[in-house]
Amino acid sequence: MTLLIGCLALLVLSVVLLGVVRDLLYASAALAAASVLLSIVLFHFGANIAAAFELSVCAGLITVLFVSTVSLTKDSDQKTEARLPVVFMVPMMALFAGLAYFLVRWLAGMLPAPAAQASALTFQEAFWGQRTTDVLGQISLVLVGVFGLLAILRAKSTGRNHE
Amino acid sequence: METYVGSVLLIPLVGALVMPWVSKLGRRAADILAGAVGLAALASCLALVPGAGTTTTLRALGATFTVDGLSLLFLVVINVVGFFCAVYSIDYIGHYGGRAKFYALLMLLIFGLNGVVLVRDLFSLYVFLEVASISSYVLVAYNLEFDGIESSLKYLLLSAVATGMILIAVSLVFASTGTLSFAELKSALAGGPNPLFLFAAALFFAGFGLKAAVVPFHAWLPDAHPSAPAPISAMLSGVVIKVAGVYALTRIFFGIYPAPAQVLKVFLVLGVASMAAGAILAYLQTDMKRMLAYSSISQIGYIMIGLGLGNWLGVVGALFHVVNHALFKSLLFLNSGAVQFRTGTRDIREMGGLENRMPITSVTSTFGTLSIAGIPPFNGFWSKLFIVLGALAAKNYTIAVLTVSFSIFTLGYFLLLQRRVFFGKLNERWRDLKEAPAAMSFAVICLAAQCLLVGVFFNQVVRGLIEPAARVLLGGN
Repeated sequence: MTLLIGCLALLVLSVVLLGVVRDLLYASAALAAASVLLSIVLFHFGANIAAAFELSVCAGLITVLFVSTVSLTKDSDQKTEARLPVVFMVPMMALFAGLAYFLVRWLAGMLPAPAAQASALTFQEAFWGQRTTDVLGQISLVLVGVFGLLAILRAKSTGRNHE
Repeated sequence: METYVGSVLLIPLVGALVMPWVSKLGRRAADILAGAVGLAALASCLALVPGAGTTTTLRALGATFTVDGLSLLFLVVINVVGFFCAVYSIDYIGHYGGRAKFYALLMLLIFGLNGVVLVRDLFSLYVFLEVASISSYVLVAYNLEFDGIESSLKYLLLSAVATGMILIAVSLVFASTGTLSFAELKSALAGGPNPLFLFAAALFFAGFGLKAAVVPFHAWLPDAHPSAPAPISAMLSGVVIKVAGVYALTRIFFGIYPAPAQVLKVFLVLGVASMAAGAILAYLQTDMKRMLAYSSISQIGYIMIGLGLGNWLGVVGALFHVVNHALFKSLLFLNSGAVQFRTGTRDIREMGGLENRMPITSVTSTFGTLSIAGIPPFNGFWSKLFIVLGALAAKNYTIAVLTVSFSIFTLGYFLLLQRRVFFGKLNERWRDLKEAPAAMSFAVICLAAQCLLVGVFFNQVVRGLIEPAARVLLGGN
């Protein structure tokens, strides 16, 4: 329980950081941290497939793509954008937290108790017996990540075909 | 038939896997493999067309993939456009470098899209949607220029919001029903309106609406489509927004939710807003590809209107427009790519009189213009006619008048584009300009011919491909 509360607190903190920091690289790091913490929470609740997916795709693949893409932009390319003063963050956070609280309470009231059959399945049964289609998708996602990185990090061609 | 289902899914994946090794044999080997993979996937897909009215299921190694009339329609769209984009890329992609990586990502994009239309499970649909989405983020940024990378990030961030909403909706549906299978969900949701399902429906609508770029969820599209290499713009506008958005919306709201009247009204309202806003914003553009991108928002509006009418003619018109828009919009994007390839600019104001220097591009663009404006006998005429007839059948005269009016408006701004780019006095800068290379010209000639042939033989296309898909939607799945 302590681990769960700690993870949830850190998750909220990393999401807040994600919205506040002005450097895209730090924002990417905060996003990765949020995804890792969310994976731990999902593992804790027994949602193993969702956790593995979150860890590999969101924390791994998306973050690497983000960092690689951001690294390609030069400092001079980064434009200063108008932002709300930090002081507005507090009431906005309070507003969103309040809305989230009521939404989660409403949803919790609406949802039925989890089916016993779902939790009786082992990870192997669920992974190889019921979700083979998703495994194929996962493998191809990793392949997309590999080709994506190779494409983004390739030497840029200077050839021009137009006249 | 099961073999063809497996082939259409796995050929692009295997092609992507072997591409790095084949490309070591030389540039031509990579080109040949890309063309061969596209052609083989297309042939497998076309082999399924005679059985359009039936459902074929492939079960292998615990995975299940199913083709019905609706899936087949979208499979044809994906693989036809995918093949011609691969052929076009043979001469186009050279100046970007990384030919093998480009082809591999294009094949994985096609694989992801094929997967989306073949699965019958909400979470699997999400997984394959991510395969297609992540491939397209990278392909949008493929030029490694600032505008491409910026648009790719914008596309990624807004898509992440969309996938977040979709995933929450999937979780809610799973938590309350204990299943993710389309068929079982349909039975579970048949009990009547439930606030939780309505909330999930709203999330699905916003998530897939963002993927389809319907107004007001369209902010990413006008940046992403122009910045991408031309074959990817053609794939995004011609296929990706339809499969990731329109297909998913129709499969969920007609196949799982029993197309409730409130949902159809939302389709209609967003359709009219997209049709109008997209057309007006397209008229205001001076960037050729940006104009085409806004026009895609407008054309998605027609599809949403047809679906929102909910009657036979409307739905047939909408599905027919999915096919037609894929053909003429990919043609127009590939032509804009050919013009940019030769001139190095997308600014319409710098062009003029290109018809004598690029006659194939000019003539095929005219075909695309006449098709998108709904001029007979081109394909766009028939799908728009079906949608207008659907509106008249539903006694929704306002929609019918608006659809016709914006079709005329579309003709207006596309004729303006044609005049500014291809007709009039030749800009001296382009005196020594040459026609686009052979592979690029071949792809656009084939697409232009299809715009005409689908229009001339519309009856056969509607009977053989569109009506079986419409039966899946209106008869349930």
